[in-house]
Amino acid sequence: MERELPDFFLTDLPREAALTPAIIADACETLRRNRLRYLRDRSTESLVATFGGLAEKWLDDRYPLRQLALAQGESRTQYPAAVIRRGLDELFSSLTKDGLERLILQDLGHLRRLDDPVSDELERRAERKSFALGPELIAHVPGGAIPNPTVTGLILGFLVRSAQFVKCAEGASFLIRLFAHSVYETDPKLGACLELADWRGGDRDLETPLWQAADCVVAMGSDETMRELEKQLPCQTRFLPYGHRVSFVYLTKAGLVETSPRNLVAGIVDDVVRWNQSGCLSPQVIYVENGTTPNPEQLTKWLADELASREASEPRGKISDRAAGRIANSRRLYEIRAASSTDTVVYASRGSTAWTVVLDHEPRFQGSCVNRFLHVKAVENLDEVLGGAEEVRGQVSCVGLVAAATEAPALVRRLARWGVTRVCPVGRMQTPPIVWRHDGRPSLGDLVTWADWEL
Amino acid sequence: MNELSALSTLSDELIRLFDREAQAQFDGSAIGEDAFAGLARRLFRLQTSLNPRYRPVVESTGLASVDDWRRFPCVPTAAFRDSDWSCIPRQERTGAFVSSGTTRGLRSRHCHSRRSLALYRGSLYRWFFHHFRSPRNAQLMVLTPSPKDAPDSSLAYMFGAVSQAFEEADFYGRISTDRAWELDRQRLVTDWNEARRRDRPVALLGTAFSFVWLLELRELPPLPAESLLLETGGYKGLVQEWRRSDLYDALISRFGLERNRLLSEYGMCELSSQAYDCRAGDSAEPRSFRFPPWARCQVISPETEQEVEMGATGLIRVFDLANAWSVMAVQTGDLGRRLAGGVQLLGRASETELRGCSLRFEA
Repeated sequence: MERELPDFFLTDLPREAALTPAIIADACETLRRNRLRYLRDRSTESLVATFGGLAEKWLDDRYPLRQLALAQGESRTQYPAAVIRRGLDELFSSLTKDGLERLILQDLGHLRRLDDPVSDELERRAERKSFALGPELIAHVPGGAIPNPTVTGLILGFLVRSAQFVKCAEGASFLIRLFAHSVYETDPKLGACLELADWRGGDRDLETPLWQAADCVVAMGSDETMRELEKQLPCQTRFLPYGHRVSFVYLTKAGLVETSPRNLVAGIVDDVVRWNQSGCLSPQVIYVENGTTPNPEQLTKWLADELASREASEPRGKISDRAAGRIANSRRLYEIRAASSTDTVVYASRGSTAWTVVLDHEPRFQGSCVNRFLHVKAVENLDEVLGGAEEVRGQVSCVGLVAAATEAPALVRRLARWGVTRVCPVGRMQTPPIVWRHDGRPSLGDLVTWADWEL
Repeated sequence: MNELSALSTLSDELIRLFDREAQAQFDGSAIGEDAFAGLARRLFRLQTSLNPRYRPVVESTGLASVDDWRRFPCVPTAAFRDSDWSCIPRQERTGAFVSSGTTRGLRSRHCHSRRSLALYRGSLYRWFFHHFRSPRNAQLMVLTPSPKDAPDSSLAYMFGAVSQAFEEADFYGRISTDRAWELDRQRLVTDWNEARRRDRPVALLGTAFSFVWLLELRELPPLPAESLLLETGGYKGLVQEWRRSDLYDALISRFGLERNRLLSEYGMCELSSQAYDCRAGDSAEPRSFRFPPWARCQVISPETEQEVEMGATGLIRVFDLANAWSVMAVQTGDLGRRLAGGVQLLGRASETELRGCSLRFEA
């Protein structure tokens, strides 16, 4: 790839070109300078148009960077081409001009809020105007292999006129790097306000100048990594941590009456197959009420059949020995339980770890091995679900809910009060709209500082 | 003869075979491939019949009548956390070894009786001294608590068993108020200095964790010539984790040890045999862990469950005849590389843990 992409970002440099603290500090200084020249005074309208257009390019099969992502993705990421193709399609379909404008309106109340002091209707009556300003330099620390949160985060960063430095995990920068090149290629001045580098996390020498230079750090990773990172930041730096999250599905008796089983199963499997279940929004556990039609046993079998059929059309691809070992051990454990208890049923791909579904009647939330490993748990009601999931309370990102229209509002109220920050239909868990409040926080709103003008 | 008596007979027979194998310097004359296959078959039939947890596992796989030990259904070590895999009648049980595993606070339990412990000792003793070739006058310093203080630790039991072969031996580990293991530093420093003064070789046994503590004790001088050290895993995560090679380098430079007198042991409470990566004084590289002839190790592909090619990596399975009183076929949660002489440990395949996208790659 080095021959096909220009050496524009630090991450493009050959391995032997070692990064130093001075290089990082210089890069931050250059970013700030370029922001003043090329970004601070850009209009929202122009930025929205640029990124709307860029997203369209990424949806076009003829776009060379997309072709590169699909051609080399399998060897450069943990995902096969089919998974990357679907992931890119869904990601960039959501990043439209309309979507970005809706997000600005939702989080900031006015489309021109980032251009000038302006008033919405309420402010006009109160004779006030306000202006939202982003940080001068945002440092991103992506935690996952999925490009979605970082690509979206970069676009939001540009919308708030911030220069941005992405510190990728070592060896996990491929898709982000292609996106950065697409920004550069589409609008070199914007590209000049973006830097990418990758090094092994915990290198204090390289990280200190970045933390010193950034006004805002957006980080994803384990809760422990977030705590460690926070300790290193100057106290005035805005820190937006996105820690460990999991998701599950809840199916009620009444909900299943109103749902086509075929669509239900296809929707759940869609959410599992997307990015091979490695997203925080992907379900790890399916809670299904006893007494449903289809019953939990039938549903488990159908999920297994659907996963098997997806393996033929969208194979999961190769995973690391460590990840496969985890699946093999976990499967073996459940197979042993199944041998002496009819309460446990295991369906699994033969001769590979491609997919696994385990049914049991233990409501305790069980973190999945991911990579298409699904737990189905038969429960009596939501009380049992929330009791079983107590261990992950505060860490549940999304619940895919299948419930009757009459019972749904009460269920959502309980889930929200318990700590769930997003409820959606199955099949859409991994594809949140751009206006989604990530982990319950306004993604754009959290980046800005307000300047109020009382007239 | 009923099956329990048959198992007792086999257990005693195994002890004798282990002895014969040791006397023959582990040349395979007592437990060669054919003998192992025959013993494994006998044991598999008895365990299938006597072990109420294992029987349904075997029946569910339809492998009850297979003869090839490589196809015997394996029990993952994690299954020792929630089930009793023992063939020992309850009234004969004398205790259990418990793992230091910490997933959700659940620990593996491996029950023992007087008879199963005799077999355990028979397995560990000969193979241990085949590798840990210490000078006759060596002073043994064990950095774990004694078996009396840690009766549920297979490691403390093992070190206790081998300590009896030394004229001078002492345990320097103790149990803290919060039930963790710690070093009795003062006593260790005194005795260490005394050994140094007498120029008497020291034989050190401990966990990797305890050797990290040792490195922190600034007042310890280098060890006398011919000293040797055996390290075993354990207590991961309680201190900063070291790479094994870094730990070895630090121990060598700090205490003046020769590299070929640093040994590593691979064992777990779910097994009754252990593997070592080197015989003291041998300098063969690369090192690989070898089990005794009565425990066969396989590296299997997690995808296909077939043994991997030489040099490839996979999950480690051990078929341990010394596990006569529980289950012989055990699938560990460890990844290894298959080498001609044994297996190279690559770490845990890790337990099933809560995961989300934020955990895929740590920055």
